[in-house]
Amino acid sequence: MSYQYENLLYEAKDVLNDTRIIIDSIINNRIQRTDSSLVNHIKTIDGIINNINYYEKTLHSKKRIKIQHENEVETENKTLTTISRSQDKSKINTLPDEVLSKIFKYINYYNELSDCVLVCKKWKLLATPILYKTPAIFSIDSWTKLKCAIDFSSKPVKQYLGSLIKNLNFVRLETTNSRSVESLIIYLSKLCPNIETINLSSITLDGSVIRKIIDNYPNLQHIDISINLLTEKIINKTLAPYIHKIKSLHIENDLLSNQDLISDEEFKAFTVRAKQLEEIQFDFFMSHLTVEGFNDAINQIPNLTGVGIVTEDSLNFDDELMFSVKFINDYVINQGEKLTKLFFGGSTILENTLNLVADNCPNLETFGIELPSRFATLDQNEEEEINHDIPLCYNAFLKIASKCVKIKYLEIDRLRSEENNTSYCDKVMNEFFINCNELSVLLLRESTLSPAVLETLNEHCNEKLEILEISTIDNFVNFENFPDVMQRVINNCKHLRILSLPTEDNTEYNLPEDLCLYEETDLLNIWNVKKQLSYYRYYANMNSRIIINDENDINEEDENGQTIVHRNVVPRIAFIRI
Amino acid sequence: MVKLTSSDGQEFTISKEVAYQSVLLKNMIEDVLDSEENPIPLPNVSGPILVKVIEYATHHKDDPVKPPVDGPRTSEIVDEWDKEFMNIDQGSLYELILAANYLDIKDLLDLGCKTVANMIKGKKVEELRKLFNIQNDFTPEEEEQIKKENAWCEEH
Repeated sequence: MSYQYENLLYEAKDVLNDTRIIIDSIINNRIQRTDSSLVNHIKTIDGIINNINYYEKTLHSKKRIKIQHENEVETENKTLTTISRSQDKSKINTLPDEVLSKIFKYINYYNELSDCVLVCKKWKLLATPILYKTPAIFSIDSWTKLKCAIDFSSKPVKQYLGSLIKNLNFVRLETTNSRSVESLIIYLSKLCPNIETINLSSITLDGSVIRKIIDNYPNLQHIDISINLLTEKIINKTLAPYIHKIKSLHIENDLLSNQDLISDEEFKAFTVRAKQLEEIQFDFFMSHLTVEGFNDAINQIPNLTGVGIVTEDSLNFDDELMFSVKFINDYVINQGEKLTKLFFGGSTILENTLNLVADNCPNLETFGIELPSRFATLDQNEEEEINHDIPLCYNAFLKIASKCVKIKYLEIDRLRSEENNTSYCDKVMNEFFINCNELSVLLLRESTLSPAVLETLNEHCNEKLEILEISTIDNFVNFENFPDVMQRVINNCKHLRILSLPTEDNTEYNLPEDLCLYEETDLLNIWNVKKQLSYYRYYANMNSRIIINDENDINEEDENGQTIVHRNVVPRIAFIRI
Repeated sequence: MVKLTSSDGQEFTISKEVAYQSVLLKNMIEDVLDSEENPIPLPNVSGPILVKVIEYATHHKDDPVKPPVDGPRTSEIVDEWDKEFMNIDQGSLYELILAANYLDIKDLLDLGCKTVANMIKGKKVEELRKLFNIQNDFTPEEEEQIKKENAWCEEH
């Protein structure tokens, strides 16, 4: 109770101060009696008096309950044998504040929590801080509403609401207007002094803007800026002073201006302070760094658990590719045990690297690999590379599947085999399903698979699977032709929330209520993500479970009287506060 | 064995293993040597509720220690036994939560809170007031003000 009183006193003091100023202004004729601010001010005073009355009332009623309770114990006590003794429903508010807060923390939808705030003053007091702690909303429009709610409130409310916000999460923001995001974030910095974390991992911003944002938040502890492909120049010149606050970093090769590249020493000086850096991704990386210098620098980052490498999908073993291959091989050997996230794109991957991953990375939870359309092996004794049209990595994949058993998020693009023979790829995937008991997200695209894979999936992953996207090469094996298998997966995987099938599959599946079906392209739209930035990582980053709240279904009865649920609407995905 | 006395004077004898589910009891038992002779008084817990608490602690006594869960909180109650166990009237539910809070039995407290959270979910303001028998103590103006303040929540 005491802190509520303290807040109230604080509020009252502010209002008294304002009152003094206003009366002074009236005496000196500086403001008119008709001034609208006077009416507002009276409202504020009324509000505070109301609050004081409320606290007095609850205090008294608490005392009363206490006395009553003492009497009860004396009169009724030994007659009770069943537990259903109390018919008094209003008792929920006799629970201690911290217990009620704990209950509200389980309410994951903003709209449900904001309904709780409206129930009574006690609930408002307890649920409001939870509601405001980590706003993560979809539209700029809602952000603007939030901003205005804080900004246009009376001074004490403004300070109060502003102080509650601890984290800004823009992961699911649907906008392409980075300008408006920028000005919004800068504006919020004035209203919310306590912000500790900012997640900008789905918005592309300029390096200098990121710097400006960090500048404006004195209490910022970390910022997630993955997706923002930053050049070495920007990192070195603009962001270097802030590296200790940055949680994830994506570095790209600045193809246009090959200047200001970092030297080994500069990069080492930079990474030695990167205490919070957890994830680093290199896109089309080209550098003046040496592999050794680069590795020394990267090895200095104490908390690095995620590494991504994207190279061009080419068969030319140019310097860039060689650099990436050497770097990743060395890194996996030295630091593999720490890695929980690994992402490969382009043709970085050689069988050798995959073998190293299997041997050195037992703790991988997120593994994504975009296989090139053709594969190459590198024979060091020969001058020329040998090109192969088919992947040669089955054994390496099988090894990963048997050793990296902690994988929860698995994304594979283009797992293919010769002449559309599905048995190799089937075998690889079966091995993953049998060994990775925690698998909850599976994104398997354009691969040479047979429906038999689904049988294994169904048998081994039905407890944990939440997201499934599956498509086969050129619809060679189309699941459309095996609707029963897919239907069994749908029925059997209790926690499946999102299912994405190829556009060509027109089967009318019988879907449970909480499952959303998408065509591939829709799913990408939901996460508002560019193709190259695979969205499994968003799921991993969101640190949340997907709960679909889809109220706009159209129910229809088919001729057999069975209800078919059509889902045409973009679902609401509940944000679960972290 | 450990002896407990409820607020209404009923005496219960339970095994240490069961008692240790409660951090409060564990600390008390470790502090007092002869808890087998002298019953531990629990003035905040009534007999019927204590029966319920003991039922829970007995059922879960062999559970492995759960690692702290990272990330999202979900109010989903997975265990069917737990679900059935929480199928009680509101008054008892709150008393059970109070007892779990007092005795410091984290899992039971969590279970109770989840149960209440599930009662809250999916209900509108008026339904909530009715379900929990709570008086609306806002003025219409205050209500308007709050709605305006929290308008940003509506998209979800």
